[in-house]
Amino acid sequence: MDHALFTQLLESNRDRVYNQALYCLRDPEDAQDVTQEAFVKLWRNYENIAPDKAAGWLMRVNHNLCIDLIRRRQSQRKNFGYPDPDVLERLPDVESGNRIEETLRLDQQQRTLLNAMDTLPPETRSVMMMHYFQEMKLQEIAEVVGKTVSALKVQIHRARKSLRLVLTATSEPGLGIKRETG
Amino acid sequence: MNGCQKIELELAAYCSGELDPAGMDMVRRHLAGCALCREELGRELEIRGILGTLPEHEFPEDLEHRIKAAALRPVASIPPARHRRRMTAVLVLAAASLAVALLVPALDPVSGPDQSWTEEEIAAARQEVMFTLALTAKVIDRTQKNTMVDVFADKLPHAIDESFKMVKPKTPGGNG
Repeated sequence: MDHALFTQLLESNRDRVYNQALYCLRDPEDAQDVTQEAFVKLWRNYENIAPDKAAGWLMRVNHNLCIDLIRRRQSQRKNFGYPDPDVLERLPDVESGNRIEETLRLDQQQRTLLNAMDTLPPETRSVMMMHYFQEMKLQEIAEVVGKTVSALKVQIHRARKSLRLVLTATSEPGLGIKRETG
Repeated sequence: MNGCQKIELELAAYCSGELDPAGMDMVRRHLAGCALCREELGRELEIRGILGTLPEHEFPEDLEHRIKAAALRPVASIPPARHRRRMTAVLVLAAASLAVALLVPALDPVSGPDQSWTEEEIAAARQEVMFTLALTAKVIDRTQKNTMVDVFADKLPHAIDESFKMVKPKTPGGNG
């Protein structure tokens, strides 16, 4: 792999890798460190990676780095996004109270769900982010994490059940995330 | 496994359109007659809707250069990020001064380095300067003393890029 190819891979995968790490770790500095480590590993292992496999390889390394880091800091979870400094920037630039309310409500729902996901095993959280946020197919994720599609279906099913229990225990009915509070 | 359990397992694949036509039809028919599985489908769609609309955060501006600077370092000499952040301000400023002193002769293709240096020594020195400078800027930035970053803002990314182009990674058994 030469400089140009590496730069190309960096530019085409950096947002995906960084955001995956950010939402798994929920800490911007940790996400930057993990992203950096993933790309440096890519550069140092270029001889073993076909360029067309680099994107999947990066996601696998990123997934493993995130899991390792979460396990290391299990006892000191951080609450990225509370308060989320970006939420004000995402508010619609209109004088519509309803749209602003919608944006704030969505932000609250996202935060509630992400907090509940912190109770899931790190690998499950990462798989869910790949499927629901990155919109990766189960087959793609299976290749990244080295599992069968059937195993992933069971994992996601169990996660859905766990989230329901967690959110019920925290006074959210059902998944309850979209409950009207007004 | 009963019919409902089987369907519940398939809901994620059903919603993302990953089942074959027969599978899609099987789930659809079951859902039409099963209120409990429709509830479960509602939860699946709720998760999908909420996580699918999470905002994508911008890639940090300086991270690309930090990645390239880190890639230039020999494997054994990359300190953990946490340790780098613990450098004191005094060390940072000393490193910055040293980097500035070395930067001009090491990077200037016209004046060139000391002729008594070997090419390997020059390459190693250039890498060291690049890394020290990148490290310095990063740490100063993190301590919010932005003066030095401002000074290097134009020069550092270009210097790292140029240095990066000239260096191939060394891997065990590789030929560079």
